[in-house]
Amino acid sequence: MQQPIEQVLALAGRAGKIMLESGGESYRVETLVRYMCRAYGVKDYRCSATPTNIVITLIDNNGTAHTIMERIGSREMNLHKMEAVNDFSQKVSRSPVSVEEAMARLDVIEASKTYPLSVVLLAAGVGSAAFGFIFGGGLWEVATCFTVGIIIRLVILFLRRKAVSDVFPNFICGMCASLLCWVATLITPATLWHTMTLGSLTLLFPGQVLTNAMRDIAAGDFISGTSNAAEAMIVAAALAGGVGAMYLMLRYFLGVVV
Amino acid sequence: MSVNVFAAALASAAFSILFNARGKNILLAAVGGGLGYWAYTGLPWDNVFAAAIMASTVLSLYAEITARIVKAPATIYLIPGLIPLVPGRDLFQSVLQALQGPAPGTEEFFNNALIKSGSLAVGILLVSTLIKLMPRLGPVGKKGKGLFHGSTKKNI
Repeated sequence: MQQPIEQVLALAGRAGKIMLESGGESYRVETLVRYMCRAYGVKDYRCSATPTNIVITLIDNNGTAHTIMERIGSREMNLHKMEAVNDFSQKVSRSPVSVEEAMARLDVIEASKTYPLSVVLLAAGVGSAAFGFIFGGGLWEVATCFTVGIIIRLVILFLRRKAVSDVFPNFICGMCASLLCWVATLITPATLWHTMTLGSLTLLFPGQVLTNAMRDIAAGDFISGTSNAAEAMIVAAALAGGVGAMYLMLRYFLGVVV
Repeated sequence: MSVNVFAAALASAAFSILFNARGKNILLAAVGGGLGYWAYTGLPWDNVFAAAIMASTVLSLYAEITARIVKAPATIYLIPGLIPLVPGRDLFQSVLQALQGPAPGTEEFFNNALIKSGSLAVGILLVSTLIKLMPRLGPVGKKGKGLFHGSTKKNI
């Protein structure tokens, strides 16, 4: 289907942006653009995507280049959007629709709701409790992990609104978790302080970023791969640093034996 | 052991909800998490790094195969499933050891965390690369030609 090339460009840029913002890998964006070009009969195109920006150039039949650059602000893993955009690109490439309708479909995807806060908090609590159990906690430890997991999720949801990167929120969450778990050893029969801290923090370890890094590297996209790997290491270091900072504070100010 | 596998599956399910996965994807991610954790702890390896490579290979294979059956991106199953395998414990222990003065265990735990992440990465890289090397491995065809039918350019 032939459509004005500027509109195709805007559509491809927007779809790619949604994909990257919901945590898709860079090579996936490039495949997405290929799908759009195939659907709308653009024969020559270039695309370069990194975790923070996308540059797409489409070349029309007269040889004129049309370029769009999208900047990715905040990225938050959203598997539903990722799947929806992927599905959208496959459907469009199989049976092309007008750009207006495709844009309307992207509107729907972009407006798709996340889970309500109560479900998110419950999931965070259950996940933390499961890790507390795996690391060898008893009933009280698991219960503490459940509670601390919920509190940590609330804290990180609040901090993510203010901060751009995940580094500082993770540092604060590391501090919060170790403090709260220490308090729990005082006011409940739970004793395994470190197990509880570890259990409630495991949900914050950047496993998803590491996974994306490896898949990007496997796809030959080394800029995205290495920058994602660096992000994973820095975020994990921030988390560990937060825990360490709180342990040090407790030791120096309150004389707690770590 | 089997209870821990169940707990890992539960954690993966919780994580996929945190990442806003919907419907059957949560269940499939949970199966992946349990499978990966089982391969990590349940197989008779005497080496944790070999176990980590094995676990992420099994998990990646599961994710890629499921993705081709369900026609969704493999990442949806891979990311929640990998969470129980992330070496948070080693990193945590190295911080703890470092705080307890000049303890000799710090480097060991830190190295373990690094090499374990590397081992997990090897498994993922191995499977993602092998999948890309197979030119005709696409989604299951409508005519039921099986797993090895389809074009190479699927966004999975």
